[in-house]
Amino acid sequence: MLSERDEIEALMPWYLSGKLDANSRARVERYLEMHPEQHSHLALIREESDATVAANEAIAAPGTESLDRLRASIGTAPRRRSLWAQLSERLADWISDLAPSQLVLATAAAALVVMLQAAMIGGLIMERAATPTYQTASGEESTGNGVELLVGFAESATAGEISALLEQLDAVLVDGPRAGLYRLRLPEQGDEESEAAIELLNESEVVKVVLPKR
Amino acid sequence: MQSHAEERALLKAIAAGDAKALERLFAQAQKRVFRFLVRIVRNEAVAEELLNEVFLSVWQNARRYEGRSEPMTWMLSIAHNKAVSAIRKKTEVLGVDDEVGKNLVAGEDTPDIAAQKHDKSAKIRACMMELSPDHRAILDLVYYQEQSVAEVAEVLDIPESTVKTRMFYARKKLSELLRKRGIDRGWP
Repeated sequence: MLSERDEIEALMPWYLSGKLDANSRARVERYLEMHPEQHSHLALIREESDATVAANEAIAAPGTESLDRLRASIGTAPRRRSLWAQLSERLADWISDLAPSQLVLATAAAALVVMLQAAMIGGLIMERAATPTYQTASGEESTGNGVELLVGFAESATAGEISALLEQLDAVLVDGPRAGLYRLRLPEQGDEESEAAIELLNESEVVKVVLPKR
Repeated sequence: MQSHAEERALLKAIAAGDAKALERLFAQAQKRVFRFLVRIVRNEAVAEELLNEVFLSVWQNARRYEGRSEPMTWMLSIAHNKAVSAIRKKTEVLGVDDEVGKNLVAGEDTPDIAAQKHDKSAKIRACMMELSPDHRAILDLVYYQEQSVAEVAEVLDIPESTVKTRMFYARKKLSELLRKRGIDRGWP
């Protein structure tokens, strides 16, 4: 624990550099008025400050090639942007480009997949009910904890292409369409796997837009 | 030192993807950041490597800069993290504990330090190089980088109360080292 004198001395480096808040500055000034001999401590701080500045200024600037190196680095490094920001930008682009008639086409094939999936999930649930083994209350396909997204499909996408993509990702469509978008759930997996799956969705020609589910 | 407003404007432009703004910020800030790195890691080649990483990080994360602190404080914070991480890696590679690792990093005198035998300021500078990287960093942040208590707290990611006590003990240690070299400053 610092004594009052120690506390004042601890503040003095900032007092000298003019970087103290008003209260602390007033506190130091009051102390210095009562203990004028403490002004000598400011001289020690000035010495340290001068030596620190000199030590820093003795270090030459980095080499001129450092800027070239930085240019090369930013040329190859992807910028880190929030995934949701990227997806939102794509939504804005997609919706602004989409005519009402295209919206209908884009949702038709996916609607078929949803119906087929619903039938399959229903079948699975019935199958489980008939199997005398322990199961969790939540069915994997119907209420899993995987990341959920809103997905819009390309107007040219066929039901077969959509099914193949879902199978590749081990994903399911759990709801939709609403405003041309489907709720897609990825399997429970690590963040990296989910990000890779979203990347794949983004790159797929079958998918027109991928959005976060709020 | 350039204005904070200009640095903020450059960061905003960088966030929007303006590579030229990054180059301008680099040109303006590189010396201060580089010196801060050199003083912590005590190796100019490593510091140059880290400098590149710092500005690459600025490029990638400019959107995350929220303007709550000055841009230089934000960049020094990134630099400090990179430097500490580099020291930690070096320590892990060598398989020694933190204190020994710090001493290894701080072990080699630069020609400048070795030549400093004459005046008091030179002795203070030499003794600073014997301090731990933590103590040296805080002296640099306060005396050379002119950071306030709150700014130092942000750069080092420690509470403001710790900033004050760490500075106090860094200065105390410096005085002890000077005493060993025959300079009694009458404090502490």
